[in-house]
Amino acid sequence: MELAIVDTCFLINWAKFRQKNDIFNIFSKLIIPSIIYTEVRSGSARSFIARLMAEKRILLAPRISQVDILALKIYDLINSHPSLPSIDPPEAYALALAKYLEKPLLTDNASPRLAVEVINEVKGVRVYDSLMLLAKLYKGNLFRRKVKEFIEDTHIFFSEKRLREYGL
Amino acid sequence: MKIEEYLKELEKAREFRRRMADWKYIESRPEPLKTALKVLVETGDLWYSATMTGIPVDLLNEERIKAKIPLTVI
Repeated sequence: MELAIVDTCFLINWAKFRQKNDIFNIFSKLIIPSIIYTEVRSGSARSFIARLMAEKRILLAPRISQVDILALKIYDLINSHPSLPSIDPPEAYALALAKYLEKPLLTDNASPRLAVEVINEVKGVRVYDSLMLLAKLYKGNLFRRKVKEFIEDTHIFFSEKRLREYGL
Repeated sequence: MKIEEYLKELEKAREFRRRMADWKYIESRPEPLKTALKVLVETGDLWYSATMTGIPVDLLNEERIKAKIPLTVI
């Protein structure tokens, strides 16, 4: 099993999911850029992350100047693109780190997922959202049930188009 | 997904947030929380809404759930 980079909002959402620990059936460890970790200050997400850090299942990535430079370039390229949705600075950093370390990025924001298709600097980076992970974790009726539970627990929905892609 | 399709889905998601949000709850919140929730309804961007109003992202997410604002993965 490999490591994955994770962004703030994704982790906050998964911290609310009743089977949040199942994510470690796919990834052995998650890497949070330190720039992102400082954004999580209270509540269930912080305790979830702290517990996993103690268990060494979540690692904090130090801020690296090469990644900073790449993140700034990605931020500029995506935000100046005529059609791509905008990207926030921490998410640009997470995407840059994923590129730098050649690891997948876990995020529910569509901007990185679309950017890797059109921006040369990040082509080839694997970007997974919650629905993709749920599909990897669960099959058949169990998948259907877990998607429902995920929506109940997190109040995160999936577009009809995306659900149809997975036969839901 | 093509970018044109994405933009359509984005608009659908915005309409969904506007329709589902508990506006009474949102209006009852103190500032800057009220503004943050309204910005969230319009943008669907938790980080942006939190940062521009100085509210921690995870705290705003808790408020988002209480305000019944759905976020949609497109």
